[in-house]
Amino acid sequence: MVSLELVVQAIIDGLTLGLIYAIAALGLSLAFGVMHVINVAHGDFIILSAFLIYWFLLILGSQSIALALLVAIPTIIILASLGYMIQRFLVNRIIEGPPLSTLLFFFGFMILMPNLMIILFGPFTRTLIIPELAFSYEILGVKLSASRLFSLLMASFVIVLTLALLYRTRIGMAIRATAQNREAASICGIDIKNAYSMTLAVAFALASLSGLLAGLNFAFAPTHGPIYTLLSFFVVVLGGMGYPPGTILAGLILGLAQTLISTFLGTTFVYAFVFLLLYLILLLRPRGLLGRGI
Amino acid sequence: MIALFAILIPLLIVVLATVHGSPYAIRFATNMLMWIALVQSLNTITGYVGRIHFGHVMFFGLGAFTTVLLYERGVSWPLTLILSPIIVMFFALAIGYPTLRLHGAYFAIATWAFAEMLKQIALNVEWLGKGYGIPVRTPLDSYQVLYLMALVATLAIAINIAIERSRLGRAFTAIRDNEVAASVYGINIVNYRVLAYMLSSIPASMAGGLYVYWIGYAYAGDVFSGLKTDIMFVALLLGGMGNYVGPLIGSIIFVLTYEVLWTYIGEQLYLVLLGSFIVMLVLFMPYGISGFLGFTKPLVRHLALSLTPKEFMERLTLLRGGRES
Repeated sequence: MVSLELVVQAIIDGLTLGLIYAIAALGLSLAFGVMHVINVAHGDFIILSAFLIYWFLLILGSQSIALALLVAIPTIIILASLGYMIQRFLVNRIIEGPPLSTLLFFFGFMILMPNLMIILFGPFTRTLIIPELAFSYEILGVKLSASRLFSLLMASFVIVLTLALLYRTRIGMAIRATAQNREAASICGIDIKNAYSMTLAVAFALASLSGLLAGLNFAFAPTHGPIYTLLSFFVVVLGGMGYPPGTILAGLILGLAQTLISTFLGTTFVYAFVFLLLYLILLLRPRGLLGRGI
Repeated sequence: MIALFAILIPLLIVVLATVHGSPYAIRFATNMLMWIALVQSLNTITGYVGRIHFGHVMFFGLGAFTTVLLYERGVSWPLTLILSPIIVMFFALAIGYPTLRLHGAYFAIATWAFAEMLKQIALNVEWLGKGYGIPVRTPLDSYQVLYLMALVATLAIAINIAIERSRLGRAFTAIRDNEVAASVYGINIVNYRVLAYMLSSIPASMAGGLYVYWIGYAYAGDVFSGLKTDIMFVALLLGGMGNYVGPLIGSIIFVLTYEVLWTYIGEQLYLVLLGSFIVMLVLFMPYGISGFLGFTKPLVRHLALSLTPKEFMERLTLLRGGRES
């Protein structure tokens, strides 16, 4: 039975999911656009931050939305400095080497991360259940869960903040200049290696934010990383690699498509369909739907 | 001399296992031979032609499923093991033509997505076993599986030796090191790449078919699992790619350490160590153990490996004193 309420609800769910995807994919897209580094462990870092927040809340022993936001701050800082250090001390060493060595470098992380998380946090599926958000408004028959609304607002805020960082600050300018032309940026006095490191720091911070939002809305387990990585890739490729506005649009498209398909056609083949689309887009439109990627 | 030794290694493993004779030794040897076959076949496309194939497990899984489906319909088992590689080879031809046009990371992600898609389909379709797999009443005993697996491993090694010693191998390496230069010398890049792809699918799909007869079960989550591709890459990186010695060293060391460490420290910690080890390898020994020992011979050394065709043309222009054309 297709009712208007169901459609509206699917659209709202889809937008939330889409913005979460967009944030996850923005990090991936930045790293690719600036350094041509493909972080195949991106999803694992998303899951890591969800677990860190879960863990902090467990230590503090109480769960409220203010507290969740509070512990998100150290998580973001941990992830960002991790990203900064990985780029500064490891990836910068090999970035001039054979082109795919950075891919294989992160591939190592892709193997070690899920297992490290199983050792640290156990193999179980978790959720960040915040009692304050575990209710829903009902407006004209449309059920709006508070956690979805909160995530929607939070995600929009994060995206605006990221775009502001990229387009309105000095470091954002340095990052974009490096992406456009490395040599020219270097001549203009930009420290390339530092710009690289800042980029991966921002990318990891975005991963941790999408970890928070994903954790608030979905269950997560240590082995869920690759699915987030692949979906983020889908978004990045759909929007055009290294083109942030395209990435955001593509995130919304994927979120909406996935929710609408699973609401009205069933969940069975959603992932098979998404992966087929990813393959076809890579084949037919490798520069993205808008054709603005690299 | 090295080639002769390399091709006799599967036989040596079989002899050692049968002399020992315990079911454990047989199982261990079969496992090692399976990984040798898989890693060698990955080497054909990733090592010689230079395409990072993150979906290599799809050949294994497709081999497993075509074998089971044929066997279920009354085809005799030797025939299934011959027919399934042929089917998978045509599959490789069909998806190779469009996919191999993609470069570097694009190819890696596209094939990864494709393998995941196949897994999702098999996990959701009733006659492909869905979430519970297809049980097989296996017609082979463990010794027969061991001998056949040794045969597949030998075939995989032989393919790579033949590649390395023929015009084919020089063409592959030329394509890997510099596409523009290779095409200038009259190598049909597309055809050669697809040929390498088809060659790499043969041992992988045979190993998949045998694997199902071995464990008596075809489950999509197992035969299409991304972890299998991960392990193949670990072994390949460890041994070094682009020669037939590297995969042998890599897979033997991998299976040995896996068995020992897995028993003593558990799978998780082992995989953590493995991941960190890959990171270290990429940082400090990017051409693997065999590269370290001097087995990898790129036609043009490291510099050319790191250039895209566009960059190569730019360098060429620079060399000519900055003039275009």
